[in-house]
Amino acid sequence: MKHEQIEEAIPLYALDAVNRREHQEIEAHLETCQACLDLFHEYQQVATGLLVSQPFLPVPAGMEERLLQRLDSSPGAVLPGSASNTSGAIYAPPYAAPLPWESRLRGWLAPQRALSAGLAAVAALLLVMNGVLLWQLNQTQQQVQQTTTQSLQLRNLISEMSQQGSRTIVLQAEPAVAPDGKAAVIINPDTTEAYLLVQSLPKLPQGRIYQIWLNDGKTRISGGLFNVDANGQAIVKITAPVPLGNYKVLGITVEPDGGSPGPTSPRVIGNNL
Amino acid sequence: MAERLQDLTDERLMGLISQGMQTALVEIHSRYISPVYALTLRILQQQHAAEDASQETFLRVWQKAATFDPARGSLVAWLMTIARNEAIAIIRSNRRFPVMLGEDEQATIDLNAPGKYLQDTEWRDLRLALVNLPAEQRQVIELAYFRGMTHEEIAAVLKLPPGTVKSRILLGMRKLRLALVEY
Ligand SMILES: [Zn+2]
Repeated sequence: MKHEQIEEAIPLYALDAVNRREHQEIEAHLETCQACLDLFHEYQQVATGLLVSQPFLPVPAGMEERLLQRLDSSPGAVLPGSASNTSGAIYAPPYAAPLPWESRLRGWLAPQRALSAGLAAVAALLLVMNGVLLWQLNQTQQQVQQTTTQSLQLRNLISEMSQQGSRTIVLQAEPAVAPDGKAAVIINPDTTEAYLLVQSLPKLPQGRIYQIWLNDGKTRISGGLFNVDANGQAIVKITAPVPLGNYKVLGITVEPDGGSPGPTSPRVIGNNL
Repeated sequence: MAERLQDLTDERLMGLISQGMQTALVEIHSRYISPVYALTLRILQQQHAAEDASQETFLRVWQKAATFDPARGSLVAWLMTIARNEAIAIIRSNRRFPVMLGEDEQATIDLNAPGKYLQDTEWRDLRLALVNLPAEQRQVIELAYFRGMTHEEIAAVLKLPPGTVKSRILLGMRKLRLALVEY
């Protein structure tokens, strides 16, 4: 094709509407002809505009969970940079070998490497929780199905932990009520959100639920309700009305379903904040 | 004050994603899933297939974040190009996708609903310009760009001479370019 013909075909090329042979010819010509290249850039803008100017549509529920599930699905995680040539084979999974959970955790935290407070919080948490993260990160595919929401929470939590100013507080279990119970809360005194991780808490009978209490020294408010899974584990996001630095004590009790206005049973686990 | 992912620019988030931070990908997903889904649904016309293509798109973001170059264009343009490729690849690999002739296209475009994610009103104007094209020009552009057909394939499907299809695409594209330039 001559310059004139190429020039004419550029809008078609920008729309990806040319056949393979035309595509190659135009591509080669663009390397040698600035006028055609400029024209192509203009039409490329039009094409991009057509892509980008989509109407606002509500999105089906659960897509975020499904994406995370894909990232985590066995045999290995899809790792950044693991894509090779993506043309053609859209479902050929360029999966890399699974990374041990430690390096994945490090990967998540890498961007905030400078924030040693965040890393210290993670280290403390790992020490205390020995297992819960491991469990979360090494779930089998079937488990992922049931716990994706938790995975999502875990990710939020890890993000939270790596924020500057966050610290981890280990909660003390009452030996009489929860002999094996372990819990930690990731807290940033300047914010109103915290994450609670619990492990090996007794599974409660029907009609009972764990309730979190936040005490500022004068009054006690509810920090939320939660249940544990078959392994006695849970990750709970706590949202307080005022920054968490205002609270002095966090405690957890067992209450009737729906929660109580105040604790009606002895503390299962808790600590000073 | 703690720095929150929600407050970070697309560019920073892409940097974090390329280092393997899944929460950054979740943030990008929440910012752009709506236009990505809208585009893939427009191309594939089936909710399930559109969900798959959207998911593939964000997996590509995860894998290729390091190759994103903000100097070459916005993230949304990059993302939507990937989304188009994923959706067209599904069409091409699967014959059960019917060829829609694009006549009902207007019905699926709600001009009153602004692109929430987009500040760029010029692109909204382009959408308007597309809808305002003569139907025969809009149809061939839709078939090319949103069904992944070459001008020859379009001619075959519409039973038109190849030259007619070409000239309709060219006329329509020229008008769209003017709409973009005039703005
Ligand atoms: Zn030229």
